[in-house]
Amino acid sequence: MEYKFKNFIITKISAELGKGLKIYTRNKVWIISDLISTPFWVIFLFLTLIFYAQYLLNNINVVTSLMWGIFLFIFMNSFMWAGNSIVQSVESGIIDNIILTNTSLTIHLLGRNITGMIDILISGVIALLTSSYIFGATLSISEPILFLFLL
Amino acid sequence: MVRKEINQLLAILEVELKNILRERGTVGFSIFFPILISLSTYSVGTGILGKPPSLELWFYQLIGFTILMITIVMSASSAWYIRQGLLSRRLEYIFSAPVNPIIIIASISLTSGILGFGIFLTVGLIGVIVTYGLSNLSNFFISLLILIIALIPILGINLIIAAATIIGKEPEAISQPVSAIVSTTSGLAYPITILPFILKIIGESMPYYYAAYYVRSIIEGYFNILSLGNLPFLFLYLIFGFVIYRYFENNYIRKEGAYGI
Repeated sequence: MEYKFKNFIITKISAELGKGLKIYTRNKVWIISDLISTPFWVIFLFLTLIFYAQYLLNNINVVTSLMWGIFLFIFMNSFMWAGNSIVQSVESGIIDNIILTNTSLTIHLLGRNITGMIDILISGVIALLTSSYIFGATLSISEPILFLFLL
Repeated sequence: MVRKEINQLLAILEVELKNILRERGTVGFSIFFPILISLSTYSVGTGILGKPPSLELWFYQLIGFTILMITIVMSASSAWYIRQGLLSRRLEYIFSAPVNPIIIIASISLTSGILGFGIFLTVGLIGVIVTYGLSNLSNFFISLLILIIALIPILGINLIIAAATIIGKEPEAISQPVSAIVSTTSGLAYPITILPFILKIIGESMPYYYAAYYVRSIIEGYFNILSLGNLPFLFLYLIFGFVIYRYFENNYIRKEGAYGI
């Protein structure tokens, strides 16, 4: 009985993950859009924030701090959009059907969150690489395991 | 004949302006956004320098963010017009009506242009009075006239965005990279001299940089009439935009219709 229950939950989670991936890959234009936009937004944010003290662009510590600030901004932003997805599900009438299938809303949110995870991965990595290439920020992480754990 | 077309243009303009006035929140945000962002970066600058920076620098960013807002409003409205028109089948009725598509596109562009002009008038007036007092007000009103001329080539880019939406289908996904490239390369929030060479060239080849440059130089009183020499070349965007849009309209929307999109 317990085995069947576990199997049932795993099937639902994998279905939601599959759905999340499908939504993300269906609109390829969004992926292309993110790939083009992110480096430009990173440069824009960097130079706009440092407009009043442009000499700080030569300071690696300041530039590296800004880089991680922008990375965390992308990180938080993706999670906020993931939280907003429940509102979208209500507005588009999906939530009624989910409740009818007796599926937990947490599992439903998991499918949506996978888009957020991919976003963080792609946009975050692009932001780090752009900052390093254009502004010379340092990419080294002294405690990588702790960093991943806290993330 | 011409009178009939002017009446059509005014009719569409009236409907679109009513649509905008219905969304007062969006209009309010468009006015509030440049002020909010410029004050945020000003406070960051104050924190870094340990003293308030010059108000002229704040004004530089305020004008840049205002033109950025106008750009976003204009490019997003073109993309959304095509997408919503295709989804709601509205374009089918519009194209089957005895109205020239150019008049439709012209009136839609005119509407977003009027909104952009309104945003600039409100935000720019606040910025000029706060920074220069009443002394530069006459310059500001002259800059409004130049802004209208400088916005015309931008309409060409909006037409290219509209054409791209026919294929790409996602308005936000199409207009977002354009906004990102324009914001970064056009010297709106910082001088383009600090950009890498290739980004500087991209910025100088687009009309947004010139719109910001003309407006700032007129208000601040260092405008050189010779700088207007670039303006005729920028109008090539309008011609290219029109040709590209008509190609996509004729070969995709009119041939394939809105169904199945």
